[in-house]
Amino acid sequence: MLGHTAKVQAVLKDYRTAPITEAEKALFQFLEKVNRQSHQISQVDVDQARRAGWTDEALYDAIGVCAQFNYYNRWIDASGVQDMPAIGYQMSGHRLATEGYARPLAPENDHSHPHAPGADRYELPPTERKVTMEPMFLRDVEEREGGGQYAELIRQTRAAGAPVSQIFHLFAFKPAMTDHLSYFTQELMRGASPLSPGLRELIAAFTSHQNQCLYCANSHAAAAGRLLGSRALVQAVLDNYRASALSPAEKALFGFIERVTFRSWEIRRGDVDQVRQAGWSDEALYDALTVCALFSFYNRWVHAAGVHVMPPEWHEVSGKRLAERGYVLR
Amino acid sequence: MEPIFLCDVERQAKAGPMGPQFAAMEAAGVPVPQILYLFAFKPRATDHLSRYTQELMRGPSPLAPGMRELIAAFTSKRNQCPF
Repeated sequence: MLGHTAKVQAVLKDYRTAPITEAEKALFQFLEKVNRQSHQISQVDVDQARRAGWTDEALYDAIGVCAQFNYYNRWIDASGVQDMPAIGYQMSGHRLATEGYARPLAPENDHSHPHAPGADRYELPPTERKVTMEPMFLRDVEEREGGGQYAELIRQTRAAGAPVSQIFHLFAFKPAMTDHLSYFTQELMRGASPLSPGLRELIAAFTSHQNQCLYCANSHAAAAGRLLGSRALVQAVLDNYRASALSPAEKALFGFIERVTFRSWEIRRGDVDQVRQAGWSDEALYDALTVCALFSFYNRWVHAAGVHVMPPEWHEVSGKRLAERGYVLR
Repeated sequence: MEPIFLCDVERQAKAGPMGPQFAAMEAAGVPVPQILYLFAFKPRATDHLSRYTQELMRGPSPLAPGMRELIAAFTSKRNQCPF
């Protein structure tokens, strides 16, 4: 498939009639659903892609790429990155094909193999209530022990007799990759910003709620409630932010976020100017739309891999951990 | 090229450590992909995003890098004009 521009164009136009294998057609059919209706993905969709010959690892990677570009698409659309002349795309295509997306790390900045976390640092969930979770759609991802900080957290959670939050498996499956995702998320959600960590969690919960990702919405609503000191405000924003106790400026920001979530391709300069006039700096808008874009990634990742929603008290535990310790587990 | 909607982000990116590189590209008549301004604005965060993306798109996988790029293009195409 590589090096065949015509084939690529045919897939982009209509994968169903493109000169690709039946297995590849089945994969694109699956990805179309991941992209547009990830909340409706079920075991049936995943099994269908598996029967076409794809391993769980291949599906995990394909879901990851599709979800990641839901991040980039929103990031670019909402911040107003413009189309380039053709030569620009030729050059960036060459750069991506030869150099990829990142320079190699200097050793002192290489966090790709974090030390296993200390057992005393985690708030393990209460064990009184026995919870049985449905297995994930990607069984191999759930069953493989995995590595890194999340594999350690899974071991500790199991040792305490508590159920494991299934998103941990998505991180533990490819830690050399997902450790960078943890660090990015940590910096975005807790790093220096004109938006408080509580407001950023609220944007995460709001985006996830709009995308019908209950798993993410519940966990980040719990974190936002703790950081903002009001669970009622969080619930009111999720139910209908326009009627909530948010300030007019915050309502303008959530209106913008709603558009980034659903119709980012329609955002124009005037839309951004309008929310800026409500009093937000470009840095605040950059941070807000980046949080929204990242959770458009997470929602699809979680949905398509079959990470199931947990009982409410377990989301409270996740929210507490996110509020107190953030996204990097050491 | 038109500036991006978040013009302060672009301005600060050009004034930062990546500035000379952007200036050299412009001087050579090479279009600067504006997504680079989004990366240059908050490198403490986006350096990790680059590495995550690198590993996702080029790391070990049953899917060839070209196939992963095709999935990226497919997703982006669908999101430009989804209906």
